[in-house]
Amino acid sequence: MTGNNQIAVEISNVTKKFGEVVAVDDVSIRIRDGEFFSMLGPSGCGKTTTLRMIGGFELPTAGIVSIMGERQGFKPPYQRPVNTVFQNYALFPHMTVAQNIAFGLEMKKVSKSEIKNRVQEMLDLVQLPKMGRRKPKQLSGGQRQRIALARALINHPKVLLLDEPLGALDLKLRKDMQLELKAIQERVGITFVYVTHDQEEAITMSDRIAVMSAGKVLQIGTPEEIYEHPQSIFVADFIGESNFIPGTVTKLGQGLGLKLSDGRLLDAAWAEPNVDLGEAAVISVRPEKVHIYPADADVQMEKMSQISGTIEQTVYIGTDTRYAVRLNEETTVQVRQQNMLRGGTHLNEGVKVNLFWNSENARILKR
Amino acid sequence: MQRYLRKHPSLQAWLLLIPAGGWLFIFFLAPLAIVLVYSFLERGTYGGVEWAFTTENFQRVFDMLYLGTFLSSAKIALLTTVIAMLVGYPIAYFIATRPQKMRGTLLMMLMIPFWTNFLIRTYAWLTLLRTNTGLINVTLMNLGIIDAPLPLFGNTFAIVLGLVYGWLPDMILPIYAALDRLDHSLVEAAEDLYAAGWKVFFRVIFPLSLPGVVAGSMLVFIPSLGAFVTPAILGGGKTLMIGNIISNQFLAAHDWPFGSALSMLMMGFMLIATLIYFRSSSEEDRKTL
Repeated sequence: MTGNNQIAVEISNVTKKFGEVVAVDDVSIRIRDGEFFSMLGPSGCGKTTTLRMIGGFELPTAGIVSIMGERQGFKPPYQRPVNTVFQNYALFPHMTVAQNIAFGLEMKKVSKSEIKNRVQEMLDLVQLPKMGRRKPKQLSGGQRQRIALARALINHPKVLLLDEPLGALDLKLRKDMQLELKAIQERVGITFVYVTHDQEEAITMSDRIAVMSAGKVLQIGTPEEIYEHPQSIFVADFIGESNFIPGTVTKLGQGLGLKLSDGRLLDAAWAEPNVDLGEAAVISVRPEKVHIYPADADVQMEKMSQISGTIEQTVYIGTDTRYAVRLNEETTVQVRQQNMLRGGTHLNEGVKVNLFWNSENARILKR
Repeated sequence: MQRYLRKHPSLQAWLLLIPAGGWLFIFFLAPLAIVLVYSFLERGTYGGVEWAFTTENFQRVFDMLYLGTFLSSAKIALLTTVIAMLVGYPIAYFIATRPQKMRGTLLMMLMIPFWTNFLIRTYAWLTLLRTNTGLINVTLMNLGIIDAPLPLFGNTFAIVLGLVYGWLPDMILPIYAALDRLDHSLVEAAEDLYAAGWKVFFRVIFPLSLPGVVAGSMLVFIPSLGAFVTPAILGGGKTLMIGNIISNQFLAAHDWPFGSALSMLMMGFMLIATLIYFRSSSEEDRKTL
């Protein structure tokens, strides 16, 4: 990230309707210059439509899209200072790799000798220096991906839009490309706006993430903020794994707590702003934040939430052991314990246990 | 029997080939062989052939008279192909860019006129184009727009018009298929890379629809070259194409061997055109057809 705080893309109260269907619903996002920004959500959440409105492939039904402080209005794609890496690469099949990369500069009437130099520069940047004469068909998926990136970056766009660019690659290649994309972004210093439905991908690569669902932005924050402090049950559920212990909201000490169906109380450090007393809600806590001890062990933990249960299932998965602990008839809690000692020390099914977690890690979220 | 067949899968394959193979043999290879054999025989007095070998028919084929007709037929076929492409491409493009629901209807509208017999449709053009009694000339003269009838009939213009009309769907459909297959994100990519309007068309859309254009051109050029109904009706007996000469050899001149030789020459020409097409297109492109 570059140090300045200039806004590269500003989306203000943008709505997009296709006929009666609202694809994007009053969305506002500010993307900083030089940032790697991801829009994350399940398919149909409006992330791609939002990206296409920045690129000019769709026009907003209402609201304003500005790029580098300039309102885009009805500008077509070819007049916007952005370039796009398309989901299926969209390389021109009748042109060679070099002709593909040169296309944008050619349209801008840049001199032939300069085009030649810059194409080679780009091929070097994406580590395919000798592929210029090939046709896209002769390349592997990962190579096509890099060429699509080169074809966009050669134009030095103010903002690069990427629409699920790694979606078609296999897992291993995907992981490599994630790191490489991030490295390239840092090298060229261009703002990347990245659309994905893969939460792990978004967390690995992004400076900030906007989590979207049903046309709305639910939360914008750094990967850590999104993971550690989800502000809604959707975000907590979509990003990583989470336990949702159901109950009703009740007053507990200074703040709010949750009363389970069996009458036990749990406290939480944070509650969704507009929850009411008596409302049905959940406590969200991540499996790896939960400590597990046998009920007969004498363990005291201060400032920790504590609740007892019975182990229903124990699964050893190498780095971790996973437990499913039944609290009461309606609720089980997933616990993940790292196997730091050789062989681990796992507890057997049917053992009565006490669970502890820091109430800082517990959040009351509306159901 | 069944057990025997199961043991000999290749025999099974040969047996399955019999219906299609038999059909091709009886209705395609055998007549072709007959034409080929006839072209080396002498003519009978009242049609038919005398069984005596000669190469004279092929010497006559290369007479300037027939070669000239042949060239003018090729010219008419080429003109027809080019005009059909210029007219057909925009129509194909229009249909391919409509919403999915409308496309079926539009393609249907394109096909419906062609359910009428080809001969009747050609005669319909006759009533429109005829020099003194044709609907167009009569209307224009009655309105006082022209004093003398326009030369709409009995010339190359009328033949080309009739041929373009007759084979237009064969041009439109392959182009439509190629445009329909075109990945729209390629158009968006071109726009994203600063190409606007016509540049997108000439740099991306047209090159990628070229297989359809080539296929359509083949489908129009070949039947136009051999056409004889259209020139016979709309040519007014004056502008003759090679197809008319061939049919005359069989029906009027009773010179079957010479007609056969002319047919072989035309087939040879079409074969060359087809070979050029196959050389210039990849296997994948041809799947459009």
